[in-house]
Amino acid sequence: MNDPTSDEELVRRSLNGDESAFGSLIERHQDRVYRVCLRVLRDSEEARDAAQDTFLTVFRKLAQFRGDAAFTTWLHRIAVNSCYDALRSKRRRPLLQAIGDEQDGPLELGPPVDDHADEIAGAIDVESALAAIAPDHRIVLTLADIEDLPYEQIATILDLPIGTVKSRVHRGRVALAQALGIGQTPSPSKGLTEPAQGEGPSEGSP
Amino acid sequence: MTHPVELLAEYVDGALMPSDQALVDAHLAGCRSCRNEIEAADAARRALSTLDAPSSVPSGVGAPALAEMSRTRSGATTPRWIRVLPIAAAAVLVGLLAVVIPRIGSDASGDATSAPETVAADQRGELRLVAGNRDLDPSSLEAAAEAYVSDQRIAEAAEASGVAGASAAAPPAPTLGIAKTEAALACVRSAFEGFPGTVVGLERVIFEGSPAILATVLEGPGAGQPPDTVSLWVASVPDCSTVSIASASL
Repeated sequence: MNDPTSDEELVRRSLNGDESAFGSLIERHQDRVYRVCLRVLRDSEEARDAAQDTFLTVFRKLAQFRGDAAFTTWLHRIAVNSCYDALRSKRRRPLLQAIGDEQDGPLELGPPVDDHADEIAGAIDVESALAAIAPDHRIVLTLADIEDLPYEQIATILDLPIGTVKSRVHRGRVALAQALGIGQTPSPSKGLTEPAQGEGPSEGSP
Repeated sequence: MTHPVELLAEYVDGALMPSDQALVDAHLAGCRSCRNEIEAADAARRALSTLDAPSSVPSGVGAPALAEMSRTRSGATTPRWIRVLPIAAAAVLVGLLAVVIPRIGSDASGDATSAPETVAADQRGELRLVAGNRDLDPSSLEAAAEAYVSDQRIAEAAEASGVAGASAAAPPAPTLGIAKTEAALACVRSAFEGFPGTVVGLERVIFEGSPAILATVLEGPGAGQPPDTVSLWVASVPDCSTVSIASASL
């Protein structure tokens, strides 16, 4: 990034009515906001709407930004909430699914498959698999494995305990692997988007 | 045995502290399921790293926010005079229009290009454009206004009797985002420029076969008094001209 002006400085100028500063803030971050929204919503028009709503909300709440967290964290939080609003209004699927973050046991998988990466590259549609998993998993994987945000920042964005974020990332990855056809669940009744509770080996595993 | 689920993501990342790494290694040595999960999670993580960046961001993502900033700075908010119109004049005006222009169509009101930047009042922040597809005409619009009144009375009765959530309403229709809501609000405000009232609902409808925006508007004497009239405004899209209006006493 060539512009050395910090986000916080641009926020301060924006609050003083500097439209060019606010424009710079938008220009600097619109790619990442749109990218996250597109990954989560899977539709370019909806992603554009959610990104527009994100920046409207940013403008309206700018005075509430205290700088306790980085501007990008605050921005991501607003963007994720805009995506949740869009998902909620579409009622595509229940938002708060029983993800089972609190369960101790891992999801049951079949026997390991030798070196999957080469098989994945190419034919298998990772985008489609990402679209097939639960929105909560998709959001956390988007932030962790696509945007490469640290878990601490994701916990702040999603307002979740960091342990829950780590569990959710792991379970999201496992769900994505299942959607990609890596590791088969022993029971066909166990859906990919609704990880079952406590289905892994619990007490007494070897 | 407790599976160290909270450590497995960082194990796959290769980011664990040595002590935690040893703990997970020891667990994996005796837990086939966790080994399988680690392999699957690692494959998923690598698969995600192969994703291409989405196409470039579409233009105009920041436009509504910048436009609002400009409006705010220029002080162009809802004209306050609208709210202080004499009660009688407002009532007479609305009543007259309800009778005389059940359907104006797109006559001379096509000149709706004057600045529609009067969206600061109403219920901004709560108002969301409903993506409905109701098919309305002048008579069903009148019926809709009456239905609003009866719904309000039922809701008030339920509230008075302490029966919270008694509305056996159908599931809410999908709503659209802030930017589209504001565009719809600006459209009806343009079509009904100078009309008093607070917009409390916005819905995409079909009016006599053409796309339109239906606004539910509450009007009252002001000065802290509750609204006494509900009006339904219909504006055509995309030209934002007046199409029809109906009202009923609350």
